[in-house]
Amino acid sequence: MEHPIKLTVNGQAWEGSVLPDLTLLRFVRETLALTGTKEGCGIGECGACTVLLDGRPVNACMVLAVEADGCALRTIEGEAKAGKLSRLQQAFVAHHAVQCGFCTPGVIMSAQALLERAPAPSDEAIVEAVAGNLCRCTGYASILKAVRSCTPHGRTGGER
Amino acid sequence: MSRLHQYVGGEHLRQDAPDKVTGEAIYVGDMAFPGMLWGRFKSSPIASGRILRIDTARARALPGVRAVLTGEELDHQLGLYMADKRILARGVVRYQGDPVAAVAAESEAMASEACNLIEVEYEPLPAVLDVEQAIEPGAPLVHPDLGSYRYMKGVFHPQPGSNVAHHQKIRRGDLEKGFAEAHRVFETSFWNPAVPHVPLETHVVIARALSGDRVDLWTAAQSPFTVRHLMAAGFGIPHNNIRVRIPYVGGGFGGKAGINLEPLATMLSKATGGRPVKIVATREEEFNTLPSRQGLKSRIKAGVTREGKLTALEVRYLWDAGAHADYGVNIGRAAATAGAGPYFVPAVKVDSLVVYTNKVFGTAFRGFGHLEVLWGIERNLDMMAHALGIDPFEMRQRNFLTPGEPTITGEIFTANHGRPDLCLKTVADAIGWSERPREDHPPKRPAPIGGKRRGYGIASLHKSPAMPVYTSCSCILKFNEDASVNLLISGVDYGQGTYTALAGIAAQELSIPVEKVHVTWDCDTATQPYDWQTVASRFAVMGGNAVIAAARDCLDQLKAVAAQVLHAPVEDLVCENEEVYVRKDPGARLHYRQLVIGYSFPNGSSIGGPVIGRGRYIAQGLTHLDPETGQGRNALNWTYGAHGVVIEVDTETGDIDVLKIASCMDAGKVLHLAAARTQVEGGVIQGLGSALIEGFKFDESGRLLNPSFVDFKIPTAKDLPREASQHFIETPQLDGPHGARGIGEHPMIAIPSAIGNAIYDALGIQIHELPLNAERVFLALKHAQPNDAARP
Amino acid sequence: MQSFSYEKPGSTAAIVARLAEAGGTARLLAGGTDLIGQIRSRLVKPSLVLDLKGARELALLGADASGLSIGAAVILNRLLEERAVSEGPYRALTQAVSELASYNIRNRATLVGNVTNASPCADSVPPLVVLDARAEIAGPSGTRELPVLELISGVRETRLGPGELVTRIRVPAPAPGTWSGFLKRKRVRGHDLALANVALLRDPERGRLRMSVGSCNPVPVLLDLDAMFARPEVERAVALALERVRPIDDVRASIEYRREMVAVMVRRLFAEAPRS
Repeated sequence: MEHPIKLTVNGQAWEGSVLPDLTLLRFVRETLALTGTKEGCGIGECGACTVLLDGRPVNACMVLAVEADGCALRTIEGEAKAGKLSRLQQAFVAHHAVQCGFCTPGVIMSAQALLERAPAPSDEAIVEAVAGNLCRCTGYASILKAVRSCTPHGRTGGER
Repeated sequence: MSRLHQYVGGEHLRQDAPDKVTGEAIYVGDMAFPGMLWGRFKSSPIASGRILRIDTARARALPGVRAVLTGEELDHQLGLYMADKRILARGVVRYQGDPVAAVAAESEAMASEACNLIEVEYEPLPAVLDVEQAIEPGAPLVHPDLGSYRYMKGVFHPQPGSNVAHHQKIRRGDLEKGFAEAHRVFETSFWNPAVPHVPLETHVVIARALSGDRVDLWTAAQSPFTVRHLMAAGFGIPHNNIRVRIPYVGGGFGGKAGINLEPLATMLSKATGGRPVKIVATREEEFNTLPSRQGLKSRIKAGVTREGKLTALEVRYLWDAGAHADYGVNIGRAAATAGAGPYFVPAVKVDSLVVYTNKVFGTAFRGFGHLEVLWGIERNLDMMAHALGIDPFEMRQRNFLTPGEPTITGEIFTANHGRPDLCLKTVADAIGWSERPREDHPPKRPAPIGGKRRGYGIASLHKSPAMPVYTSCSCILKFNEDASVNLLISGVDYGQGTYTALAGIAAQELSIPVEKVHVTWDCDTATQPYDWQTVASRFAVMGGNAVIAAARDCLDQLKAVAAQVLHAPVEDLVCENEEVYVRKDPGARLHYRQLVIGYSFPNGSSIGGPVIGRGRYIAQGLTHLDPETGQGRNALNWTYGAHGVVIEVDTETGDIDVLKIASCMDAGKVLHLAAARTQVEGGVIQGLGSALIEGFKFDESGRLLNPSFVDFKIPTAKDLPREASQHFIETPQLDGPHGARGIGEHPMIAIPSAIGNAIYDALGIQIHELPLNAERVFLALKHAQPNDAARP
Repeated sequence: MQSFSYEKPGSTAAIVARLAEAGGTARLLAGGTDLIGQIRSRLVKPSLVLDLKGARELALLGADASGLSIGAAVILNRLLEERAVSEGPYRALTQAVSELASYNIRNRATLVGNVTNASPCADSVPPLVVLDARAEIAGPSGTRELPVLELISGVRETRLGPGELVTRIRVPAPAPGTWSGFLKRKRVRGHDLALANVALLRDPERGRLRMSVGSCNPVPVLLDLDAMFARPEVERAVALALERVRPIDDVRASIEYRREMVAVMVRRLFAEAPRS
């Protein structure tokens, strides 16, 4: 049986029905056709499917779409506004923190949520926030630099 | 010479970054077509067995199922170097994870359900899981029909009737004399487990089998033209009937070289009358069914003089190819040519055997066997140095190849080859090698358990591209109306940053802003020029040369038209900052815009036409290796490098904290500084994964025990060294673009060796197996304690 | 994933009622980080999934002088965000929670889920055991309480009866001056399951010294070390722990290494614990 759900997707209202066994990840990728969110493992271990649910980063493969009823959902597609990259997205570009790019949307969503809940995070907090997002290309150094550059102490912060 | 538009060695932004940070980048998994079906496969639960019966009736009866295939219906034998692979297992299964049947259905869930309904009955056969057992006479044969397989003749030497898919021999000098002249002879063995690539994007493909034996493919692959070629060869259809498109790829590391799921998706599509079929490997299938890095057992016998000069080296490499050695044979060949390290050794005997076993099979993996062989060679060198009382740094310096000396395959090392010595010195200086604590380091006896101990380690590395001698590459540069340029090339940038570097080369050559060079990301064999494969760290070098040639072709065309307009000889024209002008009369100038689609005179008559530059490059002067001696020239170039590490070991737990890691590569010329630096950053962490964490584990029946992220761990952002530095030496490669050499794979090579050497410096124990995880290190230290027996 | 029906009752009572009606084929969904994986891999095949998050009372996290009350729908990160929890005597619990999975998973996973899933390597259980935590259970015949240690009966088995669910975990406020600590061994510094984990609690007011070792036996081991409270003997505590633990050899670690690491963690916690 389908369940009616209502939520906002990147600020816009969405209403429709979903089957209970549809994961939030498939809902985002297939129902909403927002394919920026990736599937890397399907078991909550890699973070490639990170989206924000009411501001909290979650692995969309471990959430049912029906659970998003009444929530504010944010995906990578909502981060650039009117064609302009967010500050964090710009930092990823500037710091060459992107290689194959498959983990990138998830990492950005995890880091963006951190910057919103703690505008001046410590290096340790940055690492904690993105450590659930596996990346096989960058070795993380450039990612951490990019996130750090978006904090008030970013310019003076020491290397980890 | 103008300093405008100088990009080589610069840090201009990656062209793919905006697409990737916004989620706009489209990968194959993001694509869908009208009428598309989902393909899934069922794989073998056992390592070796005869297929007695496959019952697909229930699967076929399931609503939504459009096709079911088994190996019986697919009589194709596929492969690049050694055609030893079936699309689906036929008659027998050779590893746990071997696909035996496949389904195409209206949804992924239906396809999965149908796979569950397929019943397969097996008669278990003896499995051979260990390479040493596999080469024993009488061992069960993984491929009894090896003698009938197609393979690349003259390069590989399979031994029918055995499990040996290839035997690479290297013979040079008088071995007996070498050992006789040695002051001491050391014999040691080492072991590497199989390790998977773990790209974040699993293998994914969409295939359409069209009428008239035509095939359209969209695939996450490293090499569009090799996919096309292997499909053409495997199915016996013309190359032009196959169109391969490769959009953004989510990491490869070698695992997406050659072909993988493309033939299966094609046959499923064919069985459904040509509907598009998409197969996305699950993460478990990525571990369990798709190929990984081969395991390796090395046995090294080395003779050295009192002063630490190598006199002779006898090595046996046993590669654990798993069930298929299509790519593995080339690893056994290529890594053998580097199998003595970057040293001069007067007498060498290398036997590199690529051995079939009943396990998930091996393929190319960043480093192509070199991480594995140098795990032994670079550890052994340290062991000999310590035994002789020679500093490991000094030991290496005494043995490095110097100009005029031959490599083990007989290539003469020259001053232009690069500076292994300087790479090592650079990392040694960066970690403070000469000031390291010597008191009790390495300890004479195994360090007692209690507290933390520091250790310093160094290791050298080298690698040349492993590729056919005729490997070639081509490039098209086409100008747009606004004098911007599209760069078409068919190496694939699946994250390395090569395209961005090539854009810089093109812009510099054409003297235009790099922002005006757009590399066409989606590769398409129907529209883009030929390239062999995006592997072997050869793309920046060969692609760079092709780009330069194409740019010069464009400049020639621009000048030819400008010469007529400006009434000046071509040789007096200068191309600079998007303009062509006459050297002695700079007022006479034309903007590229006026020329790139043809020049119109004021009266309307026009000359020229669209400017399209063509460039190509082919490896030159390479030869096959002699089958008996391995002598020949197979290296396009050699990239040398070194790593130095400082670690702290917790002796109570075995935990290793990497305090410092310094890496240096002789890049010839750094083509793009940020790309080079981030390649090294990422490769070093991948190397640390191999050093400290990663390795497949199998049970005694051959079942893979860690086929998921729950039990197969890779480094996370918490698992980084405290400090990492990247250094580059630039000894120009004479035939490299701007003197460049490849550095894509090298950062991960020899990382385990440096860590292993540092563990000895810290603890006084020698560990011969990877990975150097906390448990292995702790238990090795514990069992080396004099009073070990008394412990729990 | 195979299909199931989904309901989100508005109260604990309604959940209990639906659970009773559905018999054994219903599963409870709190964070879903275990359940969705189990459904995906066909370990469980529920016909009905009951979402606990509709019951407002289950989302409550209480922290006052009497202790903590952690509802079944309270996500793990909320425990870390609550100052009253993350500092002071509950420290072992928050240390365990902060090492449990990744940050993003902890935005869905719940403490009650970690406990009732009854995995031998659940990180939150040893701290809850030394903190005398109790599970509040609602069921067809009313509510009852069980100490967390008694709730878990084996590998993925609990003593919950048909139609029962754990509605909250109550952690009584430790006596003033109580110290607790937690250590975990895993294969990487990033998110990973425990090879072994140990919690230690020292309560000077009641003279208590309690230790719990997890990820070795089907159910975490509790050691009452009150007798050595005045004069802690670390090696004796190690010996007692090693006498009780029965780790297995598996893909994650060997018996030998697990035993050694239990000993190391016990020693380190003793060294860290205040003397007076």
